[in-house]
Amino acid sequence: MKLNKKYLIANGCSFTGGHKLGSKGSWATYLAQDLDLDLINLGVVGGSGNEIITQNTINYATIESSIAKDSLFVIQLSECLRYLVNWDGPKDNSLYWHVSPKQFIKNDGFDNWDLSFPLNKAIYDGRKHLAQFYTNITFSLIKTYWNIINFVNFCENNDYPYLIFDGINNHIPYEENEKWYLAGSNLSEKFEIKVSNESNFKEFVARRQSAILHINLIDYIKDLKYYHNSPTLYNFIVDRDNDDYYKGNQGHSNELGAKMWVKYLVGVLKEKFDETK
Amino acid sequence: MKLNKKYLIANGCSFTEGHNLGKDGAWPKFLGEELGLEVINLGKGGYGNEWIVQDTISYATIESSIAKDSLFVIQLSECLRHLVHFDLVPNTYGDLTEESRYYNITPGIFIGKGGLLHNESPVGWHDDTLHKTIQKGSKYLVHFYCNITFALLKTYWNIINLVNFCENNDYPYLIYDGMNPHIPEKKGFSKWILRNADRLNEEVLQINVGNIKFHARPTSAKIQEDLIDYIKNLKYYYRDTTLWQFIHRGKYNENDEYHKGNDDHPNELGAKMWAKHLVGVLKEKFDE
Repeated sequence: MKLNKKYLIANGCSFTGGHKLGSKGSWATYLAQDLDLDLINLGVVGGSGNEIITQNTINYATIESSIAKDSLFVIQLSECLRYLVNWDGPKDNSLYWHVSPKQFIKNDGFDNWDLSFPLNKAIYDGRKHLAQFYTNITFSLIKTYWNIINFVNFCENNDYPYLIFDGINNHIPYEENEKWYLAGSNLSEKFEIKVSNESNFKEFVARRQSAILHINLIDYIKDLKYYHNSPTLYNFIVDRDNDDYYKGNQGHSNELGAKMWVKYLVGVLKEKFDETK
Repeated sequence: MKLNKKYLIANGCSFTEGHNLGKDGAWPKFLGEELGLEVINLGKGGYGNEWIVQDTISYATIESSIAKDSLFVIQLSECLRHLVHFDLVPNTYGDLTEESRYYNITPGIFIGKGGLLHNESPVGWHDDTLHKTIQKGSKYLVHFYCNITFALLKTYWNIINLVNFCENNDYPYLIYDGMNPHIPEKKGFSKWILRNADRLNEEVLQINVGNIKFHARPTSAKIQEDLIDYIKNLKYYYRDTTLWQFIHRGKYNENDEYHKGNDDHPNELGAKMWAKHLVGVLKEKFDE
């Protein structure tokens, strides 16, 4: 398969940055090899969320438009729970960071939390106050939908070929006993979310004061041609009979896992692009 | 001028919703009349640019049959408003009831004149659960909501997203600054400032701009000069004046008749005059 491009622009979280292993543990390395493209890997190890993943890619491609025009974009979404913040601490210490509901809603949310790192300490010390602003799963999913829509419009407006895939959790919620749930990264984890099927969308828009996802938006996202949501990269490497694909790399893909995901992704790309481009 | 559309989809903050006057006293109503379009006014008081842009995109994505027949005119609010979702975690404060809602937090709540860190109550501060929660946690929360560079960068993302959305779908649009101008000014060799809504105010907000090549993996908020230039040169982003400047004393009027009696927001006359001004802008932009 050849998409008639020179570059592969990849972005994502540590699964793309290459947790522990660097480029050897990143699917982006092997996908570029497989497609014979020069790799520009924007992925960062360290818990990136979907807002920075999509917007930083858009930012890069907006500024570096001559490269972008000659690129295929493949974007790994992270788990939608990560809220992007910019923390400003003492002594002009300023950092991007992601605050996750998991810290606040899980009993072990702060286990192994390194309090010698000033930002960690700031979150821990302020946990009772920050929790009020970073625990809403419906809102975090809505924000990820915004990110997906923005990225789709960016690529399609500029005629850039792209694929977005779910890296950790599947972002399409499911209904069970008249309630809606979003799957976590592992099979036993799920989060209840608020979904509305209000038939008058204008009324829905006018009335809502808090995060409620409209069912039409879920359907819209689900039907996007270049969005692949199942299996996720995480499920692909973990939900198997053995640990060959992540062994020795703390639940992240190892070299074999990254290579096998690429074989799978190439199949997805072939199907999506119909081998005509 | 007729843009051959049926609807005007407008969004913005209280300047668009119609502070005190309601939607019948806001600029979208008068712009709709001038252009012969039915108005869909999505504006909500107190909201910031992330909400304004994403709410518009979500609405138009779902209601695509309306969107296809619409002109979009979007008033940006001040970029300092960080969209959050407040959920009172039960039992955290014992006596407070459960509550869930959108809210926009600004640096001014904490560090402005009369800010919480000065043990004062900001203008318009309420005595409800949400505001009590922010007040109690202010010394912790302040570190997460006061970065002006980040706030401006996010507004640039919002602008880019709206531009791509409209252009990808071939929807005619105009974006304009409602409160503060979003293009910073360079002072000296390396200092950049972003002005408040009131340009006469000496208070300015310093931001972090890099004249470096794009940093692929930024560790904190920084804006490239190239990105500022890109935003500055967008054809359908109008920034000769902001709505706030237009209704306050200065180039466009010599007294306070455009906002008199409405808490610094446009009154009916101000909204009408702004709509007339926008018609001129639209004529120029759309070359009709």
